[in-house]
Amino acid sequence: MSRWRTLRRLLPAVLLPIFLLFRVCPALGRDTVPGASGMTRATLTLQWYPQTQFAGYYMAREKGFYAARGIDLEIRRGGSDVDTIGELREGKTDFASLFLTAGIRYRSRSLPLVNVAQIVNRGNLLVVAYKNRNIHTIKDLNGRKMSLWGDHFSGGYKKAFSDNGIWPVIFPQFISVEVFLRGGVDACSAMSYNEYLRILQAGRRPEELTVISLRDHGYDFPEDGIYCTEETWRKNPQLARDLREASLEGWRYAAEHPDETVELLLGEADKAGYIVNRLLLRRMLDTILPSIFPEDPSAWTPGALSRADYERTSEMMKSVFVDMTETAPYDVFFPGGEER
Amino acid sequence: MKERFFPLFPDGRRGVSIAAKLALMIVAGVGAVFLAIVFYGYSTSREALEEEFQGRMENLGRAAESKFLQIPMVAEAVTRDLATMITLFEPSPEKMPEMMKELLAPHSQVTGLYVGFSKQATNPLFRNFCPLVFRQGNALQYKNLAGEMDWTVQDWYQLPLQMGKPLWTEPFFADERAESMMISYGIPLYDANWRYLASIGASLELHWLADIISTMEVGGHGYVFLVTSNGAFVAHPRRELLMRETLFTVAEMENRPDLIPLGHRMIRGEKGVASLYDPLRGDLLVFFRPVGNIGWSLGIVFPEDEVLDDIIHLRRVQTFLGLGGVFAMLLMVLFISNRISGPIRKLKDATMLLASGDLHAPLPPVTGRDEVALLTGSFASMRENLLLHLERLKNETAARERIASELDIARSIQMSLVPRTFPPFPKDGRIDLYAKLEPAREVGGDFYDFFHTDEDHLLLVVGDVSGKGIPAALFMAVTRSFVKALAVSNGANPSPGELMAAVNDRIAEGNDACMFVTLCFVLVDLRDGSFSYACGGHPFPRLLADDAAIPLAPVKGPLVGAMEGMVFEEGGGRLKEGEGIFLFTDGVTEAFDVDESLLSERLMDRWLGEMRTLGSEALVREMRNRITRFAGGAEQSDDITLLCFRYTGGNRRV
Repeated sequence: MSRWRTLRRLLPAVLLPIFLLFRVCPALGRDTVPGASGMTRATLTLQWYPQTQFAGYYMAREKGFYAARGIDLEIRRGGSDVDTIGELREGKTDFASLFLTAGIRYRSRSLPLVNVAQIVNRGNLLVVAYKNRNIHTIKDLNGRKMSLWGDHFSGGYKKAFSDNGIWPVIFPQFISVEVFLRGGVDACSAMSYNEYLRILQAGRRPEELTVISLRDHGYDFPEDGIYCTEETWRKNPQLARDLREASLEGWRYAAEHPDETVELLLGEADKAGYIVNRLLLRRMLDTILPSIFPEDPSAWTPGALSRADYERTSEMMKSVFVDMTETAPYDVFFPGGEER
Repeated sequence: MKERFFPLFPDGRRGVSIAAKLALMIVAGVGAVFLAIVFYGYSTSREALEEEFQGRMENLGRAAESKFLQIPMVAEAVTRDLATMITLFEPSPEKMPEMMKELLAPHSQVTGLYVGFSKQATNPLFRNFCPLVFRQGNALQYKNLAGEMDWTVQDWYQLPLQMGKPLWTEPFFADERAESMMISYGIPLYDANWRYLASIGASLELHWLADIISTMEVGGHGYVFLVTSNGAFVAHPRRELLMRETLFTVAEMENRPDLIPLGHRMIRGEKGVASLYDPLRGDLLVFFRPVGNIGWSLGIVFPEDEVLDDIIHLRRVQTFLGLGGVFAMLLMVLFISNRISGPIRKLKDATMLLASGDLHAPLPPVTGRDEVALLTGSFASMRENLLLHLERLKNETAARERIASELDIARSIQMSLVPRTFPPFPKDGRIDLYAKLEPAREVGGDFYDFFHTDEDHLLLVVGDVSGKGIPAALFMAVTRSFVKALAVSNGANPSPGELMAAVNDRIAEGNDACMFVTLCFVLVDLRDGSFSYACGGHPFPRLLADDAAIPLAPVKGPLVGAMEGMVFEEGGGRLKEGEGIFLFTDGVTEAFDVDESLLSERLMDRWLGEMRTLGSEALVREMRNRITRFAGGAEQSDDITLLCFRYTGGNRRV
């Protein structure tokens, strides 16, 4: 996830950004090698503020799943004030969580990203619209005002719009759905596990809303994954593999202990000054878990990026973003794939 | 008491007394009216009190709103000044921080001022410029956010741009410690060519909210809360709800569904009063109203029993009064209905005694001049009439019994006067004779007789005296005595005609009662079967010959005893051996059947023809049976007399 993600009510950087200046950057210029304690120190930067979208990582750290594999992992929150891609590029973090579309979009010669783990293997993007503005299907969006995230997030939406031959009037959407809530647009983009829940918590009734799932319309692209540079991978592939396994263990623990998970993430969000409530965290966890561990075990292998998903997503991105001419082969993009 | 309200009926079940019905109906009817009045009074006073409460809340809300808006209005004014400054003076980036500090300095309630320039601004100097002036302690600090973040993604930049109008943002935390809530007021600015220039605005810390709320005197256990246009709490006594929770999340987490409709009304900016149930505080009343143009809604909450204290007191008093009134009325009605139904009940007891047969049972004393008095009077006269009637009935019954016994005497006289020993002359082989007298219900005047006038002559007599009862019986006895006395007095065999004339004269003489009798005499010479006969107003006997039953030839003869000096013709004939004579009274031919048709002589003659060969006794019995069968159930209206004589010839002595 990038800085573009939704966040209502939170504008911490406006007034007290000073804390940024004192942030330590422990990964800067440091190799991921075992320290004196025998533990390998590493950093993982998440693409947004602490919430149950990242429950598995926080839980794995809390329960010592990383430490058990010899990893002394520091988890850094993301947010509107954190440039995750930039941190990877500058070597300020070893690992980062990103959407698959971001991994594909930002992989370049200068930033050879590789996918270490594909955590969320199913798409959760929605269009949420007001029913009373006469929007009932995706076709009804034609010519209507819609706020939409920019950058790689828009890939699936743009593909769906062009395939359906519709042209919504796009308004930029950034960290909140406030413009939608105030009626400034007829529709907005949303994640089923976050913005949609926040819209409901702001008193909009499900029966007042038209919810269009891109996945249901055939635009199902994997989302959160763990990324590092080719160099990090090459230096210590075992570290990346251990990170993936520990993270999955954390997710499994979170799935089995939802109440404990919600409390942990509530504490983490408080520390970051991020506004959430228990209900939101619980619903978010319940919504995202089926996208990590499939109900049908044959649907996907948890933690793995399938060749088909990767190639389908690459094709979609290339068709939407004309400046993208080539993408990495599957084996290069997901070097851990052959083991699974 | 039970008997008084639920009297026991003869069928063993209990009914409902008039007193109970009266009490029930009056209490139900008047009580309903009474309660309706009480309820009306209660509801109107409740409405008045609710109106008063709403008015009080209205004032409180208005006062709170003006307090809440004071500081935001300053922020709005400062922002407008900043807009004027930028558009009028077009200050350079270097000048801008100073001017912003100048503007901010006098308004201590405003925390910061910012100008987020568009990255497409016409003047390239502004394209990467986002000056922020903010208060830190007593000092004013300046910072260009462009070096630290992308300001254009923030709501405070995007909302004025996209909505195209000045507006307040949702509250946010000022820093990661989440201690200080802030809101921003933003204005979109355009350059001379209507290209977007900047989103400018002022930020406010919200600590003064708590100050205002703490100074609001809501009284009792009431409290005040504020929610944003998304239903998020910005002021509430439960600090853990602030910023994080909305009315809708609390509704779901704490299972309080009534918060949802309240939330919808509040975020729509409505004004009103709603009832809520809070598991911890009980029933609550919430007055809510929008706050200025910030998009917030103010809620003033009171425990319902506190708000409605007066109403509840009123309700208690009125309920008590209502119930007490109904109870008092019940007592009164019972008293009155007892007064009314008491005499009726006493009358009922007395009449039940009457009904059981005790006609001398005393009736309750009559008091007043009402329907009960009339009823008692009616019962009294009814009782007197009954007594009178009974007395009369007793006398009449005694008289009737006397008469009945007289009739019995008469009947026994009548029956004792006719010979009833058969065969009458067992030693005389020439005579086969049988007779039967069947009186009707009351004593009639029929009789028969037969006797020897000498050794070889037998006189057969049948008569029917006019009238009934004792006089008829006595008249019959007299007639019979005359017949017998006169028949044997002159020694020789009398001719029937002469005998009848003699009897007629004797009876007619001194017959003051003007009674008469029909008679038929047949004198049979037993030696050769020859006979002579006379009839005075009587049906002629039938000759039972070998081949038919034939009426004897008619002879003239008037009613006997009506007048002196009458002449009676005589007829005669001779019975062959085995032939007979049948004598009867009009009780036979005038017997009625159930259809009131007469038996008639024709039918009688036919029957006689059929049974002419029977012996005397058999013939008489058979005739009597046929008459009985003919009459069916019809009552016998007249005496029936049958006499059959058969001449069997042969010797006098067997």
